[in-house]
Amino acid sequence: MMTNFRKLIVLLALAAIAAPQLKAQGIMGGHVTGNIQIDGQVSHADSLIGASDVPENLLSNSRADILYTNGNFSAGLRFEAYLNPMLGFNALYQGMGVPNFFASYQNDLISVTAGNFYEQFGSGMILRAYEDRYLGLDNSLRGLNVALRPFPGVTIKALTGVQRIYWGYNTQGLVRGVDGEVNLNSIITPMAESKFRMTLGAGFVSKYEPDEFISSPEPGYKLNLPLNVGAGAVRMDMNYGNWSLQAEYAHKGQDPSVMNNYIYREGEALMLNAVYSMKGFSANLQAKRVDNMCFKSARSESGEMLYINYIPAITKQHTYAFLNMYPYATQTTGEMGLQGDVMYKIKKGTLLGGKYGTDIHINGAVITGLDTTTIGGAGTDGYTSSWFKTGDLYYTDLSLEVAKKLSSALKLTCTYGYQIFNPIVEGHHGDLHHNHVAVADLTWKINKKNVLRFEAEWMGSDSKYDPDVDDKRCGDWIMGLVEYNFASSWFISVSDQYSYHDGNNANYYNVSLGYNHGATRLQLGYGKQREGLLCIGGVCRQVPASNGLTFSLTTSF
Amino acid sequence: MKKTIFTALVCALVFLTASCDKIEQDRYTVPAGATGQWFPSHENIPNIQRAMIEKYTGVRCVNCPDADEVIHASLDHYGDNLVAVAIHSGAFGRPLGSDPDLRTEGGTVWYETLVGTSTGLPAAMVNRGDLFNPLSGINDKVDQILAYQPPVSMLMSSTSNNDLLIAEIHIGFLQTISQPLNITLLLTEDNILTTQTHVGGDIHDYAQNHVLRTIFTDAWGVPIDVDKTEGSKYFINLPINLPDQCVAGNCHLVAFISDQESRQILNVVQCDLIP
Repeated sequence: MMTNFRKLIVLLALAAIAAPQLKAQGIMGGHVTGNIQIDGQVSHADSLIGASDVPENLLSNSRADILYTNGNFSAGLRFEAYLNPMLGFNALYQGMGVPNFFASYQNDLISVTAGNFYEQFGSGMILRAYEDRYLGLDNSLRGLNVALRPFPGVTIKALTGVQRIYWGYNTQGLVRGVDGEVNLNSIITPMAESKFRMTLGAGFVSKYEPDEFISSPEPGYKLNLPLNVGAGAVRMDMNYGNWSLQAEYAHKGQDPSVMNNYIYREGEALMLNAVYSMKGFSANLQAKRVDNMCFKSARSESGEMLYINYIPAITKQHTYAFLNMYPYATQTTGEMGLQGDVMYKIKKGTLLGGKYGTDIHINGAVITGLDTTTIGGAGTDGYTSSWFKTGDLYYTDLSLEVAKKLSSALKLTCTYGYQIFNPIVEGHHGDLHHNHVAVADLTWKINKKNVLRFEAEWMGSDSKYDPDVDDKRCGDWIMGLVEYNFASSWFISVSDQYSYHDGNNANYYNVSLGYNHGATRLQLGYGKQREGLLCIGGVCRQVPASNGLTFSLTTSF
Repeated sequence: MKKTIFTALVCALVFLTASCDKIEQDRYTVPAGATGQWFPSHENIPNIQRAMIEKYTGVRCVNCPDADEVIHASLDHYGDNLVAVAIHSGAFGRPLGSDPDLRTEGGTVWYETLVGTSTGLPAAMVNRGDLFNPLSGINDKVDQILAYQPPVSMLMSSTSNNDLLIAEIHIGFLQTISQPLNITLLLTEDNILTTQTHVGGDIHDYAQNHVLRTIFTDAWGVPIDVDKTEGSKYFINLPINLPDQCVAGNCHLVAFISDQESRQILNVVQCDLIP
C-alpha cells in the first residue's frame, strides 16, 4: 500500500512540475490547466473519543483535475486515488483510476458535452448533478448534455446519462431531462429597459429502471413498480428595484423506493425566496415545503449516492464550531421550513456605529416535519398530509452576530446562538436538545504580514451524555483557539474543545500549521476529531472520531 | 435552422413527458409469481396423481374428429384425473375461411419441438411420454401414469383481486426431488365453433374443445426455485390476462409441473377460469 502511495505522490508531483511547461508551450495551440489535492490521515485508537486504530497506518484521498482548452473545444479528466479512503469516506471508494472524463464544444448557439458532466435545473429540486469532495459525493452523469441558446435570453438544455456510483456507473438507471429558461426582458422588446426583470423556467426529468422483485406485505404479491418516474418543475425569478422574488414548484410521480418505504404517494416541493436589499441593509425570507421528494436513479439505494435531485437547505451554514455541532440534514422525505435573515450596518459616526460602523446579522430558521396521517406501508399511498399544518419540530436555529472594528487593527465579532435539535433527523429517538452558544472572535492585525486571531466559544446544553446512546456532542462545552498568520504565507493555530459538564469529558485539542504560496497550500495538523456529521448545504456525511496526524496539499496551475 | 432545433427539442420534451408511468391504486401490488417467487403454503393439498394428454390437432386434420371422440370417452372415464389439451398446430391448423386461427405461439413451440412438422396428425402424448396416435391406446398410457405414487401434489384455484384474475397454485413435495422442475400455466377453451374437415366431409359448427389458447408462463414453464424436500409445501400466484377472443365461461386453467431437462410431466391440475 505504501508503495502505491509513493507512486501516486511521484505521479502527482511530476504532473504538477510538468503542468506549467505544458501551459507555457501549449498543446496543439491549446492550453492545460488543472488542480491537485492530496489529503492524508494517520489515526490511532482513543477509547474516550471512540477513535479506532487504522490498520493501514496511513489513509489518503487524492485527486487531480486536468483541463485542456483549445478555442471552443475543451476536454478534461479527473484522476482519483483513495489508498485507502480516509475515515468517514465510503470503503467502496478504495482504489484509483480515472472515473470522470469529458469532451465539450461550445459556441454562441450550442454547447455539447460528451462524457461526465454536472448540471442543475433551477434550484436543483428535480435535477442536480454535482460533486462535493468533502462529502465524498459525486453524482455526475455520464452521457450527453446539450444546451441551446436559439434566441437571446432563451436557454434550452437536454441531457441523458447514467449516474456515477463510487468507481462504477448505475447503468440500470437511465436519467433523461430537458429544461428551458426564458428571460422575458430579452424577448419582449417593451420590457427590455424595464426595471422589472423576470425569468421563467420549466424542466422535466425522467428516470428509467427495470423491474425488480420487491415483495408486498401480502404474501404471494409483489409491488407493481413504475419503470419510468418523472419529475417536473416550474420556476420564476422576479426583480424590481431593491426587491426580488424567486419561486419554484416541483412535482414527482409515483416513485416507490427504499427511501420512502416503497409507498406510491407522489412527491412535491415548493421553495420561495424573497429578498430586499439596499446599501447597509438586506433582508431575506425563505420558505419551503418538501413532501416525498427523494429522487434517486436506483430505488433500492439507501446510501448517500445516486441522488438525481437536491433539496436546497434554508438553514444557515455556520462557521463557528459549536454552532455547527448540530448541523441540520435536509429531510427529503418531508419537511417544512421558514428562514429569515437580516443584515444591517450601523453607520459610522453614530452612537452604536462608532468610528468604523457596526455590522449586525440576525438569522432565524425553523424546520418541522409534515402533519401526516398514515394510510399504510409498502404498496400503499403511505400517508396523507395537510399542506399548511406542521408536524414535529425538527430544528430551530436563532443567531445574532455583531461585528465591530474596534480600531484600525482590532476587529471583534460576538455571536449568540440558540438551537433546538430533534435527534430524529439523524434517525435516532430521544429528547430535544436545547443549546445556547456564545462566541467571541477577536482579530488583531499587528501589521501587514502578521495577524493574530483569538476565538472563544461556549455551549450550554440540556443534553446529557448517555453511554448507551453514545452521542458525544452532549453536555456543556468550552473552546479556545489562537491562530497566528505570519510572514504573509504561514499560519499556525492551536485549539481545544472540552466537554466540561454532562458530557463524556473528552478533550479535543488540535495544532495546525500551514503554508500558502501562490495557488499552493500545504497544511499539517495533529489532534483529535470529534465524531459527528459534516453537512454542506443540508447534505451530510458521518465523520468518525480520529486521533492523529492530518495533512493536505492543494495546488493549481 | 433554429426553428428546427427548437421544434426537435419540444418533441423531446413531449416524449419525456410521456416517460412517466402511473400505477392505478388497485394495481400497486400484483401477483408475485411472474418472477418465480414462491411462498410457504398451509393448504391441504390432495395427494392425487393426474395425467395430461396433449392432442396435436388441426381444423384441416381429417382424422382428428375421430380422435376427439376417443379422448372424450377417456375423459368421461377418468374424470378429473385426466386433463386434455388440444394444440392446433402447423399446416393442419391453418384456419378455414373466416374462422379464427386456433394456433398459438406457445403451442407452435411445443409442436415443432415435441412433434415435428413432418409428423402426421393427430398425434398425442400423455405426460410428455412417447408420441402416439390417439385413435387407440390412450387408457393404457393413462393407467400407467395414474398407478404411480405422485412425487408432487397440486391444487389450483382461480381468484379475482380488484378485477385481476389470479391463479393460485399450491404444490406439495411428497418425496424429495433433486432435479430442477418447472411449472407451466396455460388456458384452454371449450366450445369454439369452427368448420372441421373430416373423412366424411366438412363439419360446420364443430365444437372444438380443450383448445390451448395461451400459455401464461414461458412455453416450458418457470423454475420452481424452492427447497424440494419431502413434506415442504409452497404456493405461487400467477396473473391471468384473458385473451380478447376468449369466452371466460368456457375457459379452464391448466397447470403442470415438469422436469426441466426431460420435460416429462410429474403432475397436473385443472380448474375453471371463473370459479
